[in-house]
Amino acid sequence: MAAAEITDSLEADAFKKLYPDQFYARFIADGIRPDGRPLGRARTASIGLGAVSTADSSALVKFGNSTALAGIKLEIMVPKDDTPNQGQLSIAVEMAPMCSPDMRPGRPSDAAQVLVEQLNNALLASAKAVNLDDLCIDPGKAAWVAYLDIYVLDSDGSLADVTLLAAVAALATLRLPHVAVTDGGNVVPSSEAAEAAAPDEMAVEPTKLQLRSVPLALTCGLYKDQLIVGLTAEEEALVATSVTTIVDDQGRLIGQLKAGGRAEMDIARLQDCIEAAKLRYAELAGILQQAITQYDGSG
Amino acid sequence: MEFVSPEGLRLDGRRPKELRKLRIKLGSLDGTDGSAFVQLGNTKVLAAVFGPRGAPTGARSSAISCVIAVSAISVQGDRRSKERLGRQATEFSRALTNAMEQLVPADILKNACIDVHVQVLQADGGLFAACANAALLALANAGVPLRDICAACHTGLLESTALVDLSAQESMQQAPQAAILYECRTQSIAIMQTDNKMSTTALEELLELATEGCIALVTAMRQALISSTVQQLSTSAPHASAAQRRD
Amino acid sequence: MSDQVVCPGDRLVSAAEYSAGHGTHVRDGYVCASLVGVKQVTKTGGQKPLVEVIRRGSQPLVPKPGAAVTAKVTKVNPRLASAEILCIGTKPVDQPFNGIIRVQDVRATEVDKVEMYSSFRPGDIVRAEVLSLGDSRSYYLSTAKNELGVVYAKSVAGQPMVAISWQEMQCPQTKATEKRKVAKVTA
Repeated sequence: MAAAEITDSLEADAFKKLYPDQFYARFIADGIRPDGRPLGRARTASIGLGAVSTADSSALVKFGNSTALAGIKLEIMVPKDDTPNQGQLSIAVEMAPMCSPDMRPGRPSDAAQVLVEQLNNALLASAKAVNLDDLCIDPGKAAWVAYLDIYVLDSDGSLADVTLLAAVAALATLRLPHVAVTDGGNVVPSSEAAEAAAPDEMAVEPTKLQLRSVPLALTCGLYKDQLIVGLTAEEEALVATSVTTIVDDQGRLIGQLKAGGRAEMDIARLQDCIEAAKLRYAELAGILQQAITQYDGSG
Repeated sequence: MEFVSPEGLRLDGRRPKELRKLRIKLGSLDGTDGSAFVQLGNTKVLAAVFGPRGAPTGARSSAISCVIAVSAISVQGDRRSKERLGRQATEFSRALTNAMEQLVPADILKNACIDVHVQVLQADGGLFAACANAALLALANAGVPLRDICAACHTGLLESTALVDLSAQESMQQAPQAAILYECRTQSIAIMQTDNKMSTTALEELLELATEGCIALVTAMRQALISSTVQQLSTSAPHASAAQRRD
Repeated sequence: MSDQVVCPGDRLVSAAEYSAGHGTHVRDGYVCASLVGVKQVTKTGGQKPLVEVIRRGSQPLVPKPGAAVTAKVTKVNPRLASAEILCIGTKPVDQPFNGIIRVQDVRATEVDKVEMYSSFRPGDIVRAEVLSLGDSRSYYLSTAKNELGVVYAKSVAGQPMVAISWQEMQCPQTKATEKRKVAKVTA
């Protein structure tokens, strides 16, 4: 057969480029993937906190090559009339032009919009990870608006997973300065804070933002009836369908999204995805906690 | 506030002719053809190169394009400062694109295009110098043929003292400033940008200082490129000798 | 192995005594490096020795006239077939280059009787030769040799087909034949 005849004269790289599906199928048949991982293992995560000092908090997260940089900058706003006790969390995702060879700068990306939706759902609507009341400074007068900007610097699959972890890490290390509103309506460092500090003591530490729940995501795919966990970009192009599952620290299902695709999944399969997400959660939560402890400890 | 103390020290303790600490990391973005992370003091930029590769559909004015993007999280102030920096970035992107067209051989540019993307991650002055340096390092890292390694440097005249590599605080004063992209082999200036009015003597002084700064930066950049390649070679040497044994 | 790693702009040798090879350019009478890599001198019998700079790792590959390439057909119309060049020789390119096979370059004989739809279909993998740089968007490719042409094609039923002659392929599932300009693969 034509394909078999040429494989002998082609290098592995060339074969992979011309016949990507056959190339991948050979590995899956043996129970592993081209990068050596078993089908059920996601990539190792690395978290770097405080990567950007111009932001009030920041986190650089990598799953293999997939890289997302999240940063939060705080500004003051006047609360809206119908929610005088609430601040705002404004989420934006930008796919940096360097993240993938197919990106052209200036063209807004659909992928970024989808990620913003997923993050809004995970952090605000469904999980209610952030309670907007916590961002209030003076009801009706002043509140914090937290601008959470996430940059995808390298797009190699599982973007929902990487961006959510980066967002959570940045939120978990965010500190709200102690401020108060003067009669003139200006926001200044809190005089209470100044009074409370004894002469030989350090000034009062800004308060940490309390996360009400910690949601994390896992993207899985279906390839020739096998469940593949933690997809790379190449795998995302080859799987028949993919599912993103978000669970939180209490094992609750925050959300699951299966956006069409060439294959359908039954309930049992979707449950498998939830189980896989819970396993991955334990893994990631450990890494995140370790990073935060180390970061807090270093002052 | 005095920017240069009587002892000749700047706000961050540097001497007038002292560059900030430079850190270069090459090839960290796997999906790109070449990449370079450059940190100069507290300014951090990341550059990536795709190419040479086939021309995309749609008209392009030049085969090489360089775009600098300023992240919202990178600026000290609020989102308005980001808008301003963004506009400056667009202007500088164009100048940098023109400079690069001269540095890459024409036959490479003829039927393939090269995209250079620079993302500013943290901004503390000397922004466009850092972007230019990162862009050139990324091109070299990608194996794009270049006529020379150039470096860029930013200088300013504060309190009658010429300072090299200004921090954000130093550049916010309405003092004469000059930034150049310098080609060491031909000893020529590829790009020059000045801010605020100044006398010709002041300009000469700033350009001379900037040239010195660029020469120092080029030395560091060349060293980073060479040591990265030497490291790659030493990790691949066992394969080479194994191949020789087979023959 | 004496590694002498050089940088773009470094002066290597005099241009009068050496000729400039890959990764170098000539300036002010000197052969200078254009890449970061190892300097390599090759003696050519009788002529000036060749100086090159060799980069480790993937070179940015660019198709050159005369090169054998493997491409995937993207569009077919009566005058030409568009294809994405995926491999040059046995090495994959990092980014696809655009190629065009014009009706006069499909085969060597009976050029005026060529029907493009009977030669190629979108999705076919073809082996071709680069003719020239063509216009600024695409390379001109030729399949006008026996060993050039379609090496892999799926039938309308979606099955990879088997070549049965230089102009026909057969679907193993439906047994239907389809016309293609088939590459003769020597066993």
